[in-house]
Amino acid sequence: MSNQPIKHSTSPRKRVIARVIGFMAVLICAGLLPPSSHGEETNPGSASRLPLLVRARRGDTPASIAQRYLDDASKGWMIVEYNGIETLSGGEAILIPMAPFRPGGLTPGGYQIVPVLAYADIGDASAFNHQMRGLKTAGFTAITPAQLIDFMEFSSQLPLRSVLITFDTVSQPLYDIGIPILNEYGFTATVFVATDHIGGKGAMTWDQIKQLHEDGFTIACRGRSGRSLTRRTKGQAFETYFKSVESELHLARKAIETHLDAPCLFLAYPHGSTNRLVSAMAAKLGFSAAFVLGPGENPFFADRFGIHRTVVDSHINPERFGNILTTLITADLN
Amino acid sequence: MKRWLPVIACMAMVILCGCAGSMDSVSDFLSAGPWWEAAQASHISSRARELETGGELAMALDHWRLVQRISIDQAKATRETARLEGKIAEAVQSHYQHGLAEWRRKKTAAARDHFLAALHLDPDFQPALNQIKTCFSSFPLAVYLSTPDDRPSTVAKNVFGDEEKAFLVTWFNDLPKNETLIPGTLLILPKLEKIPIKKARIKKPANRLAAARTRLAANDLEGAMTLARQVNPAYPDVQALIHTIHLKKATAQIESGQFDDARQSLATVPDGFTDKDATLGKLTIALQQQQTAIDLTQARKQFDREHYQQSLDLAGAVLKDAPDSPDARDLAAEARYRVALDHFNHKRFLKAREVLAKADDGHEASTVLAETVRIQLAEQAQNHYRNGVKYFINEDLKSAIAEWEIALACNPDHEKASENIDNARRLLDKIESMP
Repeated sequence: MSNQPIKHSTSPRKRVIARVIGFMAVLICAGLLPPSSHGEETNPGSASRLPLLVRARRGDTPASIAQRYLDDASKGWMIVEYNGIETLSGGEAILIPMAPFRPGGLTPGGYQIVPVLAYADIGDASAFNHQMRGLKTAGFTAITPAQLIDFMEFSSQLPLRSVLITFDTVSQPLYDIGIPILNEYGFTATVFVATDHIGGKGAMTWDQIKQLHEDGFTIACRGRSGRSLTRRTKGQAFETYFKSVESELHLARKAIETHLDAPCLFLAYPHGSTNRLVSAMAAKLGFSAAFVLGPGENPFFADRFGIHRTVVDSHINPERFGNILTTLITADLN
Repeated sequence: MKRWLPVIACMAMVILCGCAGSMDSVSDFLSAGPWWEAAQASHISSRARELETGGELAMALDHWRLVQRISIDQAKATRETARLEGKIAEAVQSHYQHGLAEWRRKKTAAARDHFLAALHLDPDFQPALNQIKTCFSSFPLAVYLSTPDDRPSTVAKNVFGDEEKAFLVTWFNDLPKNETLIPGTLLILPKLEKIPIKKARIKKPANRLAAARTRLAANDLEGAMTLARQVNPAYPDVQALIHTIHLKKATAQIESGQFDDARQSLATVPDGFTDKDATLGKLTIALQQQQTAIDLTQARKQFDREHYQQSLDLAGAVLKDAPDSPDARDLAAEARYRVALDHFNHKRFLKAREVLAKADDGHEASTVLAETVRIQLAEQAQNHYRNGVKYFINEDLKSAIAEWEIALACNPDHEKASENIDNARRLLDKIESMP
């Protein structure tokens, strides 16, 4: 114990002043600070749409911010498009869109269309690789049919440069060559399968199809035998024709759902052709959308049971390939 | 020991924050908290202006709303938000009405672009989305409402022109057999082409033209047309008869609501042919009535979904075309009251007064609300008036004028505010002109 007298560093008056200052600080924190952008909103309708204001940390990228605030790194493009920026710097103010800000891909200069590429097979691997590299370099994002349908329902938006890549084959080269190339560029794709062909000579097995499904590729239906659904054989009664179409669609869908243990929601009409009856049957059987083969635009208001796919192969002229990839139809929407 | 208590408490709080995993939040609060957010207001305001210039009005509005929340001085952002909301609402209505007009003129591309423009400005504007979906997006299924004594076979005959397609009716609707349907059952059917039933071969009469006229008089339009087409069309009488049949057909189609078919029938009749203009007039009126009914239904739907502003806009548009429609008038009055009530509940009294200014005198609830709004605004005017006086006493003339102007906006009859503004402006002019 020290014999030194206890030294009071502050007088009672100063202590009171300090407490008052502390109390005021609490008051300032509680009520006098400017309202926070995370705070309670007086108009709940607009609050859900309001962007979130955040400060970028050092080393942040659009993808890392999207992961942090939107729980999805693949939505980095939303940060880029909303803020009109390409790169980020630490300390920068960034707005996070909390709702689709361009549903249906509507811009003042026009409306978005989604090109859908239809490959009958991989063909020349180097040419396919070249085409995928071209897509990546041009800033395209490969989307799934489910994303396309959300877009067409006007409930979400897509990156301005979106493309749907599809295959009408279950050939082994698609699994051995095509899929690794797609993976290299981070692209997903949709494989329309004719279920009778699976496990055949030179074709993928159900295990491989299941693997693709588990890896994030969309497995969809192209009928059971892959024969045209619009062709009615000579002398065939209308009811017999109807039953054959029903069997093709129903059994193929059931086989896919049984093997993958997941719903099969998308159909590519075999040979790319349909008629009013087949489209109506597809809708009744529970498909969410169906694809035809043939050029045409796919804006959000396109016919969901007549989505256009453009046939592409490894020999396609680069200029023609570029034309297929048009994503904006110019119109004055001001 | 007591003097260390605050320090110990702070340390304990920091430790607890760390244990709870909220150090990031604390760090965020310090580096990107409300003060930092408030400092970004001018940057976000600039971006909002950029977006507005670039035509992205909806995004610009979201930016201003954010500025309104984070800024210390909210008055400017509030003004900009209100201005932009008004601008968007006006442009949306304009595009929608133009779209409807272009659609009636059969300029489908122009109509589509107007509806899309309305949606771009306000993605929640359901009427434009409904028009786009109805007019430009087809779906392979249609609906059919069964009538008394309907069976799958009669439905198939009515819809597909072939009762042997009854199995389609049962398959698409999961019906068990060809049993009589309960009247009013909603059936889903594929949109197939109606296949005309084969007609019995008619014996060629000696004078086909006379026979065709007889059929026309008996209202057998198909029979009359078949006979008329068997006569040499070079004769003007034959051509006139064919045109008359087309006109009668168009009239029947208008009466049964088959407007597209009626349009096609009329297109085959040359301009200037007797009664063509009258039939076209009937078609235009029928189309307008149909559009009015659609718009009114949409307005009611919007009202039921509590989208009162959109309901009001639609009902207002209906009233422009059909000013005597009591349904549209009642709906507009009720929707206007709800819009005003929403403004009132959110303390937007000026907006509420603006909306109620157009209310019908006969709408009792609107009258009561208008009086309540007037009282609230008078109170606000008095508060602003007092604030102005305080500024005036402190020789801050500009702020005083601003306050009195708000007071005047709240209560245009506030004479003192009006006088004081004039006096303060004169005083300000004198001060500024002093050497």
